[in-house]
Order: sequence, then C-alpha cells, then structure tokens
Amino acid sequence: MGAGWTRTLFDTNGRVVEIQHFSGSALPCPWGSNGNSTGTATTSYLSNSTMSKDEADVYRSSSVDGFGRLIEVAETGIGANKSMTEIEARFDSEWVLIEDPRTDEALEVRSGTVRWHGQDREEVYRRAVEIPPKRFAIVYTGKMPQDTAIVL
Amino acid sequence: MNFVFDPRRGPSVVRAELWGPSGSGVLQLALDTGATSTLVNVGMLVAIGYDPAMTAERIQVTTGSGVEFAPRVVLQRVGALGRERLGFPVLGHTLPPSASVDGLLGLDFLRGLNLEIDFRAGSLDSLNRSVHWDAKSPPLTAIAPSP
Repeated sequence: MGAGWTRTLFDTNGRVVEIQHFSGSALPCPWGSNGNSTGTATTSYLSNSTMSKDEADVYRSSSVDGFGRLIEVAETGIGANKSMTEIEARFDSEWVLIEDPRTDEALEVRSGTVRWHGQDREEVYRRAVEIPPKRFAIVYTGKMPQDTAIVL
Repeated sequence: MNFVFDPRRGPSVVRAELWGPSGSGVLQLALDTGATSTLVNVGMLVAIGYDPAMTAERIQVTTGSGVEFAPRVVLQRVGALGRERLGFPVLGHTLPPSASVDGLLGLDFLRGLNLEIDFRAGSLDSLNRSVHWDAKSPPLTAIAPSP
C-alpha cells in the first residue's frame, strides 16, 4: 500500500462530514499543497436521516425512529438498479455504462445498473471490455450545445 | 412503429443493439442518410467481442475530410428501428466524442424499409407496408423489447 494521507472534516457538532484520501507524502490542504485526491466519502445529516456517499459514489441513506433505532436503509448509486430519470439526473453530461438494461421496443433504456460513468467515452468502452456485461447499454446523458455543429 | 428524437438540436439519434461473441450492447447511432454504410466506434465493437484490428477486410471510406480505410466487421445481429438484420457488416471507425453518438446508422440498414421522418414532431415511423426487397440485403426481422 502506498503512502498517503486521510483528511477528516467535522461539523460544528463534532460529526464527521467528509473523509478524503490523498496519495503521496506531501500534506494536503490546508497544511500543504497536495491535491492528489484518490477518493472522498461524505455524510450529511437531516433530522432523523443520514445520507452518505462513499468513495465508489454509492449513496446510502439511513433513518432512525424516536428511540434511535434504525428503521430504513436505502442504497442508490453504482451497483443499484435505477431508472433512466435517476441516471440522467445523477450523471448529467456523462457517458454511462449500464448493465442489464431494461429497454422498450424502441431500445430506449428505462432502467438498469450503472457500472461506470465519466466524461471519457473510451474509458467507458474499456470498462465494458473488462467487466464484461452479457448485455449492456452505453448512454450519453448530455445535450448538444447550441453553438456547435456536427457534419458527419 | 414510432420512434422519437429531438428535432431541435443535434443529430437524429436512434437506439440500436449489436450482438457479438461476448454479448450485446445498446448504443446511440445518428441516423445518416448521407452514409452508405453503418459505422460503429471501434471501442464498442471490442466491447461486444470483436477485434477490428485483426480484421483483414478493409474498405475505402470517403468522408467529408478525405479518404480513409476502415475495417469491415460482420456482426451476428443488429437491431434498430424495430427491425433486426442478421450477419450485418459494419465499418469500425471512431467518431469524436463531441459527436455524442457511438456511430452512424447508414443506408445499408435502411434499405428495404419504409421510413417516415417528421422533423416538426421529432418522430420516425418505420412502416411495414410497401417494403421493396433487395435480395442482396441481409434478412430483416421484427424486434422485441427486452423482458
């Protein structure tokens, strides 16, 4: 395992709100200039619910009742089956690799499991080769800018 | 069968599914009646189990910016616009990401179809009637939605 730093941020109530990992021996901000972040996990708190996002972009919300007992855990993100509306909202203007997509007669993707996403289309293709899903869809969620033209 | 696209901006994008040795992939192709051949990004062909770099057959392709040679790969099956073609040849050529599509659906797939394009409503109608068949074209069959 390589050398690195883990930086933890707390809110005013002493709760952890962010854990970020940095590679290299240099100190991260605000003690140094190391900006080589290798992953971030965040947590937000709202009333009796906690929403966390781990380093793999998996979102998990948990709720407790009045006695502090856990009553619900919901996970959304990579690895969970999501509707196309959710996928477009979360991964706006990105190339998305969707495993086992549910499609309609027009082959429009209605839902599926996100296996990879990013701005780099070739990386998404490479992930499809590495995994490889038996059936998959590659979707671009962005819109073409108004001030550009395509002549194929 | 009716298909929708955004008539206000960008190319007319249709969904297609390609089958290869390692599985199938659903992708976005620009409907291009100016292209005689269907064209698919090389990365997508590799993802479904083909290796265009090893393909012996390369054909001359005339584009807007010059003449190139591209590998031709015969896919097990291609589905789009409610139709499927078996043993369908496509060209392996990667369009820039700014094109926002994984390739082009060319005239070779459209031949034999009766296609109505409404650029006001943004709809494509693939009609079953009045199909004039080219005996040299790969077989054309109906497509079914995934379960």
